[in-house]
Amino acid sequence: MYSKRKNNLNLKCIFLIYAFLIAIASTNVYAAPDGSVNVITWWGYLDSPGVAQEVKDKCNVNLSHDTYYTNNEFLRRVSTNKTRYDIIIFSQTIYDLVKDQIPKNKVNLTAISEKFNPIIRNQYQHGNFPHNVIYFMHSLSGFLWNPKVIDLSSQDSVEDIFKKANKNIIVMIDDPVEIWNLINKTYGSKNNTELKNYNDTLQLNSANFKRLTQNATVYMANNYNQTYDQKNFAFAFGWSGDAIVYMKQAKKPFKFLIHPKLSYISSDLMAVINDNPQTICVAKVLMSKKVLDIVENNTYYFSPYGDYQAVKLPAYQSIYQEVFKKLPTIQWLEAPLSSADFEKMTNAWNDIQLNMRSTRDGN
Amino acid sequence: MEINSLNAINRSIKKNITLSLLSLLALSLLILNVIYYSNVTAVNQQNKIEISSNFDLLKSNISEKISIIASSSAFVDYLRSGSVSQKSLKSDFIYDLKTLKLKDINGMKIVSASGDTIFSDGASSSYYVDLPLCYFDRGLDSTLGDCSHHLILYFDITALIKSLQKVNDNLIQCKHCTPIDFLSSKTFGSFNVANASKMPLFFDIKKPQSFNIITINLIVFLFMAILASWTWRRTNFILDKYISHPLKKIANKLKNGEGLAQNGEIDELAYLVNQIQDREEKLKIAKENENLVVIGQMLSQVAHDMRSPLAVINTIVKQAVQIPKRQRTLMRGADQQLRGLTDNLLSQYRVKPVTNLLTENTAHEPQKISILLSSIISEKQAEYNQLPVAIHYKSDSNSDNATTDISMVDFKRVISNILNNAIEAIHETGNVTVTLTASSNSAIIRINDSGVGMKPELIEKILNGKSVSYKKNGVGIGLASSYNFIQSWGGDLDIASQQNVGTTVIITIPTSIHHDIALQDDPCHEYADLILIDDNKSVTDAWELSAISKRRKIITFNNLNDVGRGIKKFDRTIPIYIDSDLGGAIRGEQYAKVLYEQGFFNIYLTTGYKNSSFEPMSWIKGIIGKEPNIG
Repeated sequence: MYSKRKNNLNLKCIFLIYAFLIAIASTNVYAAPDGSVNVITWWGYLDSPGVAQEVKDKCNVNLSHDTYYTNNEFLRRVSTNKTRYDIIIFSQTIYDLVKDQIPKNKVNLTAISEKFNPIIRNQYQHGNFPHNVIYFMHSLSGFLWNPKVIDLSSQDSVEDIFKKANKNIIVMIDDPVEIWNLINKTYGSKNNTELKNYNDTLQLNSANFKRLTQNATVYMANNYNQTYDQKNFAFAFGWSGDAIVYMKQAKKPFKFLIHPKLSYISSDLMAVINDNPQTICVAKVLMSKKVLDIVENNTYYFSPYGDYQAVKLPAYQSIYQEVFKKLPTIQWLEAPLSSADFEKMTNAWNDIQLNMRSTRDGN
Repeated sequence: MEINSLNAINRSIKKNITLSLLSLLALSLLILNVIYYSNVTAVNQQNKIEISSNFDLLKSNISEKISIIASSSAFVDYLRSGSVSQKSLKSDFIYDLKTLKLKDINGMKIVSASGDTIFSDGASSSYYVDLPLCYFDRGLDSTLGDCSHHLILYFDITALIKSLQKVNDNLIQCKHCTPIDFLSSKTFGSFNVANASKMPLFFDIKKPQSFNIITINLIVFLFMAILASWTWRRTNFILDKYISHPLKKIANKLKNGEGLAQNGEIDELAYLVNQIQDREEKLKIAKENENLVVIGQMLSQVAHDMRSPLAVINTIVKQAVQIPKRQRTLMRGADQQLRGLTDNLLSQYRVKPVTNLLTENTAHEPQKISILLSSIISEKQAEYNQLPVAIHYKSDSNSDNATTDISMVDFKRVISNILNNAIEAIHETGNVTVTLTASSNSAIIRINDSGVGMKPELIEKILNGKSVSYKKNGVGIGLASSYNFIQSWGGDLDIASQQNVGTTVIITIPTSIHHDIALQDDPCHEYADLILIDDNKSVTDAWELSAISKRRKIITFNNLNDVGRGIKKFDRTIPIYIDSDLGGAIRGEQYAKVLYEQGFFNIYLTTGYKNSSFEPMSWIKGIIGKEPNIG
């Protein structure tokens, strides 16, 4: 029963990627059919009415955007023939899965990067992305922790952090690549820090995940919403933007820990799929500092422009400053993965989620 | 008693019975109605719970269907899509919704967090419920989920009522019953309710056909009335027949000076008289039985007394050679017959042998202290023969003549108690020594044991006459009581004790030295062939006659005081024949033991009983009949 389900998942994943490739290849034909530009992005990025209004003002076109919560969901949604997207915004961790299939069109966004923060610009240039692919927003991973339950410091090792959580609730990023990265940073070989080949690293599986999280009650979610309201909420390992959102929502003295060894920058990329003028216009508007300032202040992720003065929330501003101050030393999560490795990781992640859910609910 | 009074009593009884029956009837109806209305209330409450439960079941069904759809990819994607994607997803989304076949739902609406309606279908109605759609990642989770959309359901009340009646066939609509709000709960199946309209539904549960309470009351009333009527009539009948009428009749006859009829009217009185007579008869029989016992005892005594003369007669007959043989044969036959009769009487009415040396009815005759002590010690030796305790008795020459007038029963109790204490004070092996010394007016009994000793404070308490308790299972009198007894005799008690060495209890009692029985020690031994001790003079005479005929010297004694005075003159080897029943408190076999302890060992017990009547006694050489046995 178990192996059958696993095989089904494998087939499903292969099918999704295949369908995704077909969909990408055919987007030119179906783009912007009714005066709208259709975008798919992480949840929260383009929700602000100001963004749609800016698009409308500048491009005279409606911005229609779909949201997703996980990389897997992104892949599934773009793979269906039901929907066609003009612009896709996605995590750099899955770029290698799709890079060959992003059409090489006339769209050139590289000029925009000239105004980026120098370090981010260098990182972008180092990535050798096509001209129609550019950095969108960045996030920093870290620990949002509840001082009433746990006390974390930058001196703590990963093992210490999870040990301190004891049996309390912790929330982990719902992203196999991020967790795989964390496991290898904690228990992996010190000589293999770049994590280029999945088979040469500690595998993502239930045993390693359990070793990492120890006795904690684990939830895997990117939108961990009400979990911080639980009395025994200890910490969430997630992205800084979400952490600040929830610190603001919860109105509790939660803290965010930027760990020198465990915190790293994750980047999102924007790829312009067709060269329709309206699409190009919308892409440029979305990449404008004005729009990214709006996005930044709504989501608390980091705009590639790195202008902390544009940030309004004091708590966010202090983190912002700290991040850009430490930026030269902070690691970047690249994790260039083959589709086969991603498939393995996705399957392993599904298994882990299933096990953890049954363990948690069983308790 | 006057007739009028009897009538008044009769009327009073009937009135009370009537009132009681009416009260019983009223109480029954009251209890019936209370039970009925309690039951009605309970049933209504139960119905309300059942109806609410049916509501919950239907809500759960609807919620389950919605949950399935709301968790589907089409639904979630639709919620998370922009207008362009929603257009392309809408057909799948609606198709999924239609498959739900929610007949109870008139229409529905999905509203985003910003208040925009992103989907609507069907018509709205005044009955609605607003359900937040909360997602934790992609799964519905009303606790942890992010509730960014709301689903508003509009109900078709007619369809809903039909659905509820499908859930429970017994649900019926009612116009006047208490309404129950279908949407009053804070949850709708697995969904929380953000907002809801009122939706009162008038339902009741179909009741099985049952009797109306008025009918039940009527039936019970009739039943109780019939029962009351029957009871009243029956009671009247019984009162009249067995009490009122006979009493009236008797009273009238007595008033008119007429005699009572032999039958019927005075049956009850006759019965009572019979009962009394029967009791009297039984008492009489009991009295006769009691008398028979006394007579039996008397016969036993007579039989015993006859045995000695018979023994004499038999001896004389044997020796009287001058009597013709035929006459001798006749006399022997008569003797045998009388002996058989006495044996028969004795076997039937024999009084249990006295095993206790001292009895309550013993007179306070002067008794030799040495003999009393010897008897008590013998008893104790027998009683404690299983214990490794040796009991010794010593006396000086003066003490042989010392007598006392005190109650033998009390004396025995006191000495026995002190001896018991002495023996029990020895936890392992040890000795108890009783020493008797006497002076002209007092005797001193020292009871010494090698036991654990007594504490000085205990001794002080005892000598102060205070009761002390130091034995768990003591049944005799205590030392303190003994002390009181001794003082009442004009004597004294003293205790010398050393812990773990032993205790000596010293009892001083006044003596009553009677010169007529005081033994005059004769240093010269007297010779005889045998000694006979028997309280019956005829027996001793017979033995003396027999001894003369055989040219033997016999010394006979008829009481124990004479024995004590005279026996010391004789050699310890002399055969002594002693009667078992000496007619006093001391039995022959017990006195024989005293003699045995003084050194005499050729002791024979004479008795009219069979040998099997006695237990083995080491100090008795043989048990023989009462006929002279002079070899």
